[in-house]
Amino acid sequence: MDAITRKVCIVGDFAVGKTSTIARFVHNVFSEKYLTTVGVKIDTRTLSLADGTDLKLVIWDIAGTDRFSAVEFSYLRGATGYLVVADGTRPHTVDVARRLIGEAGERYGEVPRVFLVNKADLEDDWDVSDETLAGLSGSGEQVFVTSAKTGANVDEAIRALAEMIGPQAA
Amino acid sequence: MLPSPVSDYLDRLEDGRAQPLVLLLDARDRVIESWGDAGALGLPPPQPGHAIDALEFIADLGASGNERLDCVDPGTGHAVDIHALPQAEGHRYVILLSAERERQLRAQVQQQANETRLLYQRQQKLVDRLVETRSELELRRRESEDALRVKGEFLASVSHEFRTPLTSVIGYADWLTSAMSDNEPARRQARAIARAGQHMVTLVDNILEEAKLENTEATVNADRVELLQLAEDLSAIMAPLAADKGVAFAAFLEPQDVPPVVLDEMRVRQILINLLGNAVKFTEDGFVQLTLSWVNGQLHAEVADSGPGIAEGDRQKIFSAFKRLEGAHRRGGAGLGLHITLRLVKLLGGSIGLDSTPGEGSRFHVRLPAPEAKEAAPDNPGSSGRLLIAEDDPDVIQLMDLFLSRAGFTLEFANDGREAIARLREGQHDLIILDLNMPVLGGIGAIEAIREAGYTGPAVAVTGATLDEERMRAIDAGFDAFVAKPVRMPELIATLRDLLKMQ
Repeated sequence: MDAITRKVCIVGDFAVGKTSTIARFVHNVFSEKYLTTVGVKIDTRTLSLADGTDLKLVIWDIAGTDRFSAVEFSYLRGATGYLVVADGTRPHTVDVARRLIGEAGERYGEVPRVFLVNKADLEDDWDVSDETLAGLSGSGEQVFVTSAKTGANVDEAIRALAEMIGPQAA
Repeated sequence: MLPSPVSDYLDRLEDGRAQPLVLLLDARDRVIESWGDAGALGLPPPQPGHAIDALEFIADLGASGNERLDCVDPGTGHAVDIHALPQAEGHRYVILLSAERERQLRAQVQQQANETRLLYQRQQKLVDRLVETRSELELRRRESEDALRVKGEFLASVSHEFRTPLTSVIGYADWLTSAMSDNEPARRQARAIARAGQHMVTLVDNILEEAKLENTEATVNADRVELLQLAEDLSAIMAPLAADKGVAFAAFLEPQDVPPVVLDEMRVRQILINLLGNAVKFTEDGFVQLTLSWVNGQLHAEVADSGPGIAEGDRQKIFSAFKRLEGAHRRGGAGLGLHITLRLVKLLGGSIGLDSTPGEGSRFHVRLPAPEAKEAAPDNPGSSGRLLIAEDDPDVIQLMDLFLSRAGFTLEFANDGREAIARLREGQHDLIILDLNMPVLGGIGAIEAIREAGYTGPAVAVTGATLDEERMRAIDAGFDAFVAKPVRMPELIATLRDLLKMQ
């Protein structure tokens, strides 16, 4: 049986680790060097869901907000899920992520999503408080503290999203 | 030759670029026909009748009219702008134009800008942390000051608790020593009690002095001192301790007829007691010798012994707090004596030096200049007067009764400040002595009320707390003199006579 295909967009402020998260998830690699993303980069990976369904995720890695351009929201059209990423060493990126979710919701309605607070490996620099994380969870977000560098929780977060969007397509 | 809908469309593009890849796809995204070089965009050659996997993501593009997606990397490493032009029967033209050059240009600028912003954010975070650290340090500093203050108050309070009973211990032991002149064994036992009491006073003094030097801007007191009396007092304390160990003790004043001088007596005593106490403690046989002299307005004091001596490398160490040389632990003490001695010498503006030969002995020499001079008045032991004494400790009351009555004073006692005020109203008193720490009403509150009621005679404060602030508070409240516990009776009597003489 052919895999079900779903479009998933990964969004967040610049340099929060969106491209690194996808590189870890799709290719299981990590690079310390920061390379900005321009436009959008497409990657795919097929997962087996808990019910045995194969789900092909077409992941749109969308350039983060930067001083030259806002997020190109047209890229989000038709997405069935969002991976929302913030940087645990830069607390304001949590606010940026929340704002992006709000704007995407206004344009395309509510879409299933998971919230990744990335760079958990940078323990000494970690600056997002437990209260903030609890606040996110309390407002209904499914939050994962992840590290694209070590791979911690990356698979778990994206699989959680896949489970949320997979059965709808079955 | 491109199909006309495509060439018309491209003609209208402002940024029309050469060499597009054009695909005509059917309703199921299978290639019907293609134009251009797919390989130049990193894509495989289109196969008629087959879909292009890498372009799977554009399935919905153009569903509702002409549509475009800019700067897309479909996983080939080559960015393209994608345009979809819907046609009849669900067919679409899909035009792919290379956007790689533009992407690289934007990436270059964006990378630099983002790295700069990251750097700025990190810098801001460091500044924030610095500010936070500074305020934390400030908080810690304040906490530490509070802790020191509480420690000082605690030590002062403990000191008071020790000093009050020690007044009785030493006073009665002195009394017994003089009262039992015909019973030598009893005299020796009484002296032993006095010595032990004196040792405790030294310990309490050292600990308290350390707290005072840490906490406060210590002030120097100028007292009139008879050096001969000082030498005799120190002999009285040290000679029996030395005798117990079979060590010879001698104290000299050169010349013997030095007139009264001005010194901070309490601190000079403490310095010399510490040096002599150490000399006696560490000397197992031979001698300990004190020599005092007054030279050009300076006290020269030398404490020599025939003890084990101090090696060159240890001479700095002995002046550190709680640092004790090997073998010193079994001799008792807190390891504070020489540290405090050094600090006191510095406080008094003097100097201390040490000559020592290991195995032969040590010689500490101290130079202490006189503090601001005040005229030394001749003593008049004949004067007396009516005293009102407020003191809550019955042992101290009895002790004062013993000594002060014998000195010719007429005494009246009150148990607390309130009673003292009442008695003062009832009778005539030449001088009042108030313990600062009494139940019902303490000495400070009492003297304030007494002064307010119009009493102008001299008043002496007695307390176990000897912090300078306490002294200042007492003087500010209306006392004329301040005597620390354990009260040395000859000292108290001299103070009382001085004050009464001024009347």
